[in-house]
Amino acid sequence: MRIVPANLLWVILFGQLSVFSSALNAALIVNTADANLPFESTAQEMQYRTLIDEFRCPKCQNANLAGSDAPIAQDLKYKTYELVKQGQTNDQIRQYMIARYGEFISYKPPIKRSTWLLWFAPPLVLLVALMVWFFRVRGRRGLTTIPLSAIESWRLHQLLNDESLKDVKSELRDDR
Amino acid sequence: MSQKNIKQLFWLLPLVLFIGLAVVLWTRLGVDPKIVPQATTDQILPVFNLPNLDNGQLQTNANLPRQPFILNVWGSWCPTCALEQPFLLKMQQRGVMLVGINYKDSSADALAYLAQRGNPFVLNLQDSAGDFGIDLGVTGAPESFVIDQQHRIRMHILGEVNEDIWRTKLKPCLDRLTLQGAGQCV
Repeated sequence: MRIVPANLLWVILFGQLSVFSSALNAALIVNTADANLPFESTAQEMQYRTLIDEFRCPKCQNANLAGSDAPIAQDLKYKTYELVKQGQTNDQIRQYMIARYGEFISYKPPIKRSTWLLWFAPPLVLLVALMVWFFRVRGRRGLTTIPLSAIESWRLHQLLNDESLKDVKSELRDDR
Repeated sequence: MSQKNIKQLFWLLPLVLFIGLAVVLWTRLGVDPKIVPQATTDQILPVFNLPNLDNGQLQTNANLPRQPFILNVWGSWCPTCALEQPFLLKMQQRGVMLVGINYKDSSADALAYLAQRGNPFVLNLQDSAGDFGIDLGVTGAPESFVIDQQHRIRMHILGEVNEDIWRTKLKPCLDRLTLQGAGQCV
């Protein structure tokens, strides 16, 4: 019996004939009814799996093709398979899908003007945060404390023990 | 404002951020998040070579009407198609030209379905494999397209067509195409 690799990782880790892998795959077979498709090479199978992971089911919308049993998802999986077998590249297959279903078919949005915010905002926020942190730390390092002179020390002591300045002191404490 | 007061306001920052986020999310509450694929709208109708359901003769784009028409994707297996079928007949009575795409169906089932429920179509193309459906950007059945006289897709409706869709979408589009010639509907 040919063991159906439900997850290529398992195949790489344990080999197709391992009993362990076979038992795991048997459990996973339920949602990979399409996994019986024959491929000419592991590279092609890998390409197919990468693509059906990336494409969104246009009917169910919150699932990818790999995780959907909608009839259109089955058809698009088979179409992906056919295109992979024809030797088309990931980009060609992606373009094929986008031409028919629009960019939302791919969970990997292209980098272009309208998606700049999506792609670059998170690293930008991180960069700004790091810069703020960096400059604050550096600014603080520049501050040096000059030790109090004998007179200042005495005056400080006097102030701290002066009952008449109690209100001022409590306010100073709050203002730390 | 003193330095001290400004520092105290920083404490409010999380609250302000929270309110901002809540407002943004609130505007999307109750809004249908479904994305309607419109990639093929305003594109030229894909090339096809499909059998006529009635006699099996191969049809091409040249066999399509030279006036605005509605392309309806249907199948005898599809419950919502049966639900909208009476309305398709009503549209036919109103003089609308309908071309059917019999989507992923068998001839026998499809012909029996039409014999039983009436046939609103001037022409039915058999897309047994569903390949033409994929070229059209179909996600299931029923779906309807408005095609202009130059065979460009001008509207893509997902799901059932009814009086409401007719009044708000299909009729305005067909009227626009008839009166002003081929062009965009939306």
